[in-house]
Amino acid sequence: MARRAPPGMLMYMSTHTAIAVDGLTKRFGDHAAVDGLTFELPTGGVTGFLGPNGSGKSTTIRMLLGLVRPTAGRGSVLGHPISEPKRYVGQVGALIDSPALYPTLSGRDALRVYAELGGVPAARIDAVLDIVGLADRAGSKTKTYSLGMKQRLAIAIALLRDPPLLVLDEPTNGLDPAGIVEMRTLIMSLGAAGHTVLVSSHVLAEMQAACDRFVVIREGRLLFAGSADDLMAVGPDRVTVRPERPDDLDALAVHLRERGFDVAVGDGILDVDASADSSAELNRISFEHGIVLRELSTRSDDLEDVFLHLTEEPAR
Amino acid sequence: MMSALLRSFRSELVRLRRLWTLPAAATVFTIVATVVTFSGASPGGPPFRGPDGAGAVGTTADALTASDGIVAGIATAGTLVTLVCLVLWALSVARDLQTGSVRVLLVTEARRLAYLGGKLFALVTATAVTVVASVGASVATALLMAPTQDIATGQWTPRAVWSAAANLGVAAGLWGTVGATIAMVSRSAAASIAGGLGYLLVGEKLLGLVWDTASSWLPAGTASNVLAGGSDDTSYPQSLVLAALFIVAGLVISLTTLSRRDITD
Repeated sequence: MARRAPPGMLMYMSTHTAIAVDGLTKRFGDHAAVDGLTFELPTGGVTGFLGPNGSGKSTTIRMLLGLVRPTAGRGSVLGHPISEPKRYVGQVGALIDSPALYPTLSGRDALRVYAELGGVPAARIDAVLDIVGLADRAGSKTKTYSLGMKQRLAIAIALLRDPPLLVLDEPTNGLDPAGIVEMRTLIMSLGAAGHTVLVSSHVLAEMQAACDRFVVIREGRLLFAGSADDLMAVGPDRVTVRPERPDDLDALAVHLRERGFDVAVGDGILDVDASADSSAELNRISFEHGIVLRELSTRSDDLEDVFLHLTEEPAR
Repeated sequence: MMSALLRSFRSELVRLRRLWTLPAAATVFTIVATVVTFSGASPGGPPFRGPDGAGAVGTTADALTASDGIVAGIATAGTLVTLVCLVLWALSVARDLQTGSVRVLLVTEARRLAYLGGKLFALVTATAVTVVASVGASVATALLMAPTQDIATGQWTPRAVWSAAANLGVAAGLWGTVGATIAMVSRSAAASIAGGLGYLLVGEKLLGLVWDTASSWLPAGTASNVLAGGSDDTSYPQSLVLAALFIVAGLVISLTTLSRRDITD
């Protein structure tokens, strides 16, 4: 079952919990950027962190990484409290917003900056360059890189310490479609390689393809935390109805609306906002009016529809 | 903690390579200043007043034969070298904050004291390199120029060189700390450089109009006094103590600001 904003959920921290937050709150003046957020993520897999602009995703991620201090609440990352980031940041790789690189340094030297700081052996630099496919351009100054290459270099920085947990905040920002697909493939491969990945993005189609779990927030409050299947079950099902004779399309739409259904007329089909359980009634109405159906099928909403459905509702 | 400091130091050295043009510019300017000082020295005129920058250009050949004539170029170029250090420190601190790279840096090394400490040690190292290069260039140029101007070098002493280098290092460290502190508070390279230079070059002189002894107690005046080895109003030891206090105050402000700040955008 999907878990919707479980009030007062006790924080459960075990060796199988990568991230847990309980009542996490951050206020900037009178504005609550994050308001009593509670959820937990198990280790392994790729979790999508969704929410409209200004919903508190980046602030939450910054609190998890020790960059922003919570106003209230508590949390843990890899079993360590977020009030002591030095105990766990060595096991976390992060890409936060747009890559902040040094334009006059080469890609390899940019990695050296973080390798030196993190105490990572130099040999690891070549390894991560290979992983993100930048080995051929490692000697070029980063100012000559495309945006996609810069994003991949930022991922390489996050991978330097081969961390069990990766936190990627908007890794597809500014990428073209090919770059987005490339990033999705990379994220999926990281998840498959055993990393726990928390990724926020606005490219919902890619998130749907890459993630097996989701956390959805709005106005700093939790709307959903659970598996991808559970999330898809949250959205309203839709039923596609296709009459055998196209001439019957408009008439059938009228009949269905008379019975209270929300119907959109498409190219030879009717798109009915209804659950799968309503299929029989739709079939019956069609039969009553002498309309034979060639197709009557239900389909789940895509993530975009579910997201809009979830985030348009008042936060619970 | 020490290993974290060392890691941060090494990381900052890689980043500082981007700014190598600043020490190079200071060195080149010092060479030019030394050439101008020696080639422009007249047989008569006012006596050479030592490395305070005031009496260097247009000095006499006789003055250049004094024990500190060997660092006459530094007397002229010293202030510029300290300005370069202000820019170097301000840029190094502000760029991390302005570009957001501090986010990734602090996720890599969560101990903010270690991050800032390593950075400051690297900046001190870069400042030392700048000072050594500038003083070395000044001395080398002076040794080359002296025979061409018939200036006797018999009274020139290594002590004057060490003294000039030490004073320049302290003054550069003070100006650098001012730049780094303003950068840490403002999070802007432009604001820190403009604010730092504006205060040190203009603001403090304006203060001097309403406060007679401002130059004895405020940072720019203190740096000048250190460079000059003391002044009529302020002894050399007093200037050194004041410089140390300003540096410590700047470090405390920078560290407090960084440790308390939420790293948002």
